Amino acid sequence: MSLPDVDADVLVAGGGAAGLVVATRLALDGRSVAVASSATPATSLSTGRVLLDHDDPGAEEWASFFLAQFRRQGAHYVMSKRPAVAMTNLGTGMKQSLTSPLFDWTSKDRDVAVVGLVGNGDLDPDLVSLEMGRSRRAKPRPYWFSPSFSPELDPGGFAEELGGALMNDVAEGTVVLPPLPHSTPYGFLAELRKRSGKKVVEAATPLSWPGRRLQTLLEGTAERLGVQVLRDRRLLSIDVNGREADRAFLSSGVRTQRVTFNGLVLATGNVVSGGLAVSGRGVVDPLGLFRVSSARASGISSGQLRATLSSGLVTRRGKAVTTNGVSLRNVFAVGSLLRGMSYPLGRGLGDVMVHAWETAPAVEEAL
Amino acid sequence: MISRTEDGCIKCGACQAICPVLRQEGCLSFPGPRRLAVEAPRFSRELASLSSPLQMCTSCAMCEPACPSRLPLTEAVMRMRVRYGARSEGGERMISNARRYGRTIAPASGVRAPEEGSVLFFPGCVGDARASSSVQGAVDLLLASGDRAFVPEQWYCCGSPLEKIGAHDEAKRLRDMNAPTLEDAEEVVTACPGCAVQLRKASSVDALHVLEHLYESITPSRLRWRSPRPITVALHSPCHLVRSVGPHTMDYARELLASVPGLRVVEMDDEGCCGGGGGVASALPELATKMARRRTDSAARAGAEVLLAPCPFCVVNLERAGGLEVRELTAFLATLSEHRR
Repeated sequence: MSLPDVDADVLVAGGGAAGLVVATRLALDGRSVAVASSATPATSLSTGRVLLDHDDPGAEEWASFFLAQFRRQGAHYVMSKRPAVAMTNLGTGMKQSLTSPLFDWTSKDRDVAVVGLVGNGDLDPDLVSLEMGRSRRAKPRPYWFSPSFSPELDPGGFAEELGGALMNDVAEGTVVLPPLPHSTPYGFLAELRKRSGKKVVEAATPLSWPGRRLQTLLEGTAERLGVQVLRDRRLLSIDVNGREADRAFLSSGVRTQRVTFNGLVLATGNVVSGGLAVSGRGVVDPLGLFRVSSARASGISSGQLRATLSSGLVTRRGKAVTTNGVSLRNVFAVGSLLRGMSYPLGRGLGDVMVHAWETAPAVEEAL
Repeated sequence: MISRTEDGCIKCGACQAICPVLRQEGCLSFPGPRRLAVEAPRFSRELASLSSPLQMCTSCAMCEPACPSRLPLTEAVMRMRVRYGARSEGGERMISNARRYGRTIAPASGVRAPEEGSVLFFPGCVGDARASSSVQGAVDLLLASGDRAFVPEQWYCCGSPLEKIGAHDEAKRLRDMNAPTLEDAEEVVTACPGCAVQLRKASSVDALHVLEHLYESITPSRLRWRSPRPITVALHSPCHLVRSVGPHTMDYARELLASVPGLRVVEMDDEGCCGGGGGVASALPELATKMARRRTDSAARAGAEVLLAPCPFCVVNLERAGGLEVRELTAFLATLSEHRR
């Protein structure tokens, strides 16, 4: 048995930040778009950090569109021209431009408490206090709180108990909490602020929830505009005819599905998210269709790591180049799949999303 | 030898964050997929202390799509079980039943169905013995739609549960016994996601899950619904259906439900596993019940009157929780359809 065919103007392979942004802009212009997503994208595992170059008009355009979309879904992200400081679960600070009120802890704040939640391993207040104390004028004060309600199952009880404890037992004016579970309602921190009378913020930690929130918001935006997101599909093959690709096969569990399209955008990520694979001879395209090479990269001392992270798909005027050197007329690549677009510690998702946003018009031109 | 699972792990922790058993039981009683699938094989001296947690994995496979390296974590946990040699009492019982009856549960069928036709309905051991009303409903729905559905007189376990506990010889014996019946059939349909996958993978029979068959072969217009009665339902996503047969099956389920007048589907705030898979229902019934209760609570919070699951095994386990009506999806649809026979 094979599944019913999908026919779209554009197939986007990869459902992370890059894929969803390019799909969103294409859908905004009235194109029918299908996104095939194989697994948890790196976006979801990231800190959800977005650092933008404010001199870039593409960045401003991206931000003005997406911030409004996020607000419609109940998440109030704000742009800050001077990057605010968020915190990793190793206790180190990091800069970002697109901040949510959930983690807008700016470097000016000194009157800060870090409250660990017993059972939530994503933030250790003692470690944070020690690390942040080294680089800042005042040490955040560590506290531990042992909740008797689950924030997921009983957010009301949890808010009441924690809010009371923050009001009565914490002296500082700003409270940093570990990332709360993904399903926690967006209004939850506002509720805590009201109950405790303090500024309550949530730390951004890698592998935890802020990345998932951003992923959910991007998916929500795309789907609202009619993008068909095919989840848990794997890209099995792409058919190339001359200088054009015209169809691809996806797997859905034990079945296969054919997708026909006029344009294809590859947004499958680098090694971590499975877009490229490491073979005995270095980084390769697992489908064996496209040419992969390395960009010049500096600042990474391990040669192997540098080679892996700086590797990516070769493109000519944005179009993917096959192993025999032909650039395909209707196949584009966006995001960290491109060489030079992934970094060991991450400049955040700003570059990737702005690049995807700016590539969409070229894709349309090729249709 | 280091397997792909052990070597491919980047230690990101995504599998740990999503594991529903870990969420339910906490890290003190269940160390999570990474520890069991990736770390345990490297540190075999610690295996003895993992024998009990190994039994707690429901094989829901939620860790697999979460894994950025796309490692076969469930299979690795099952391999560890076999390697450790811990076979639960339930596992031993399955093998002895298989030897005696050719099925992992003693046959108890009360399913009424023609013995001949063109669409072979494969009930599966659990469907036959523990959820016969689900099987009956699915057969009725196929017949109501005009299909010539039948249940053969002789059929045996597909082998899936036996392979999971390492009883490969027994699984092969039953596969060979099933072969003539299955190969003769024009079409093979089953309500059990486990059977659908196993028959395709091991027996090369392109068995369809009943949802796939309903959606692909029977146009919804061939199903007639009784006069509408407003009802609110929640839809459970069975792990083995979504992640083994394929995610398209739930799209089909939603479209089928949308065609029923008066029926409204509400979304649950918590996606999860029923808790019964991977031998947990028989080895650790308390854990299975707690996990089932999370699902029924979530459905009740969403305002559902009935929780629907397109998997007989999920239905059996979800019913343990009590408090909310749980129905197999096709059996539920059968009660709403007008029988044209």
